[in-house]
Amino acid sequence: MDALHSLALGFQVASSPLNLFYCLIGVSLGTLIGILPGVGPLLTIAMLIPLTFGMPPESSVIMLAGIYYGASYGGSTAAILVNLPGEPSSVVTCIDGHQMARQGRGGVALAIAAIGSFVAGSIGTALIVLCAPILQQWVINFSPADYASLIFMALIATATLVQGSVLNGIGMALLGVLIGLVGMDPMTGASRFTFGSLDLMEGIDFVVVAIGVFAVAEIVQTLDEKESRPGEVAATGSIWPSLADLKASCLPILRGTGIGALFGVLPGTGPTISSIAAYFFERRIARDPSRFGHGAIEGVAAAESANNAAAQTGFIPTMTMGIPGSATMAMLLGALMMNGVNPGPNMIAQRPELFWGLIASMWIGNLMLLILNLPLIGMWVKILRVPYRWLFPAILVFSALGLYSLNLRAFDLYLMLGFGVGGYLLARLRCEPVPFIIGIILGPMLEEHFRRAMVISQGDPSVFVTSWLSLLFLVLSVLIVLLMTPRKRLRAEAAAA
Amino acid sequence: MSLVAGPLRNPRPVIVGAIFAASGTAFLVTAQGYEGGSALQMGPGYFPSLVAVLLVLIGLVNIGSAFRASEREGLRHIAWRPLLVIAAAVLVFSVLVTAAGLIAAIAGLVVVSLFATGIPSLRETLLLIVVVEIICLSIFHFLLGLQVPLVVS
Repeated sequence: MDALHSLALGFQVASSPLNLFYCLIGVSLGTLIGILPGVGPLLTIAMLIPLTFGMPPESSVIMLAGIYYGASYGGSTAAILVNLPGEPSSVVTCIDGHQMARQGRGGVALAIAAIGSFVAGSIGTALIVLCAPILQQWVINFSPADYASLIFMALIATATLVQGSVLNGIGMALLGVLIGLVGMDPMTGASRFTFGSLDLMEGIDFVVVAIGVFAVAEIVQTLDEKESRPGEVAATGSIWPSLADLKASCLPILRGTGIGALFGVLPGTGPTISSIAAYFFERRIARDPSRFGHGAIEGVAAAESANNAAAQTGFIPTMTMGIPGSATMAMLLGALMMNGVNPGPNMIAQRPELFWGLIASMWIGNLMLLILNLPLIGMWVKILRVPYRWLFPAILVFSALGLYSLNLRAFDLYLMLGFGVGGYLLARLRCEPVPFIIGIILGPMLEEHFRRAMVISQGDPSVFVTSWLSLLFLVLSVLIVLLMTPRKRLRAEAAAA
Repeated sequence: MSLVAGPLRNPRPVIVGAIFAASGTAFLVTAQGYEGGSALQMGPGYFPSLVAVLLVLIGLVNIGSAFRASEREGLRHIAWRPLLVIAAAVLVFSVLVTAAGLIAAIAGLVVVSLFATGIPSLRETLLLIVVVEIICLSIFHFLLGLQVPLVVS
């Protein structure tokens, strides 16, 4: 079995002492920032990317991925014990998780969340092992026109599915594509949009933008919100779920995993949407829906397995096709690109140790989280009490210093500040930064394949509609926009009324 | 849907649309300086021009949508104080890091940024400076060996 052979290679890579160490750092840091409200995985990954520069790519992606899925564990701890969702993906966990904690069953809720996450993570890993090679084999035979249309569809889908109006999302994505084109044109060597600046010749470093919008803009935003003080920390109680608890959670965990795995692969949806969907699905099919909201263990189990499954399967499109479905995935891909890895369908074939090492590390990381989290609850609760006004200066110093360490030039800091301020103002106008970031990553790829397709077709643009795959992707893009536009307008009208 | 809602009641799409249209135009004008080429032999200006035109179109549609006034949500307020203070803090850092060295730059950033929400107490400020200096110097200077002098004499 080829996949098993590859997986063995992956475990060999992931269990090297160095990579185990990075995995541990990643998941611990992820748990930590998951607990802290206002500090999310996007910000943390943006902050740490400069540090990963020069590390072996597999170690860097193992650590950064650990932050991502570790955060969802941490988020659930804060949600259950103090009724504060540390991460948006844990919003629905608060509903029943905190009720359980108030009934003295906080420990059981935490245990079920951890077990559910672990089961979902393991199934997610298995799904990746099964699907990734098939998908990659399929994509590798795409013509440039097919691939360009696929990238276009991914761009449109993320732009359409994020919060805010469809037009704003698409506009931000296009703006990102243009910013991504700044620098030297890889095909002709001409410099574009550099205005003679040598600093811009190599293009705008993706991490400059990421730190700008996810650190600076995010900090300003959070400072403006009222600080939600953690209230009473509920007692944990015994962490051992009874047999009845386990029986009640078994099916919700599996259903949550299924919902999460599906939403994780789709562009624009991710852990947050899947946990909400899984929770409400569970409530709808429950024999007695009135129990939900009063400490129903099924609600915690389904939501927490869904967000973890989505976090895992989100790697499928990113790693097999080189197309990130969410901002976090775009950041991981950006980190890989900085370390000299070419994203795309050839990634698994060219760097098997990278892909399979990452997959294996996710399973190991989930195991670490399961073992680490429960005994350390006391420590995590203390961390919750650190006020944000002590955290943000440290985050800011870390971000600025990390960025400066890349090229040792102040220009990067000014540019980062520009994107931060601009990103904040645009976010206040309900233009989210996520499509923008994805546009920066996908822009150059889109241009490359678009140009290649046009060269092959000898300048005939009909190549994008005569290939049935390309046509399919373009039709799907139009459908996504048409389906989402009226739906969002209805929602906006309902909110305004 | 309100019939009396005029464009002024819904300024957001106009502002957003204007930003998109203006940046699209700026990119489009700049891209005209590069060789456009033909569809067969695309120059460096071809694809950016295409995207810029799309962005201008999206901007115009956005402006147009304001007159339908289906959403009546007003503008969200802007937190000028944190925004300007944070910007100033990063600027202070970037100036100090070359002029005075790492230690001063870190301290400067921490002190300025604390004014984002109010006036910090002296004790709090000093404590935070010490903690952040210890964390950042041990990671960037001692662990990673960042080639920036701690103090510029």
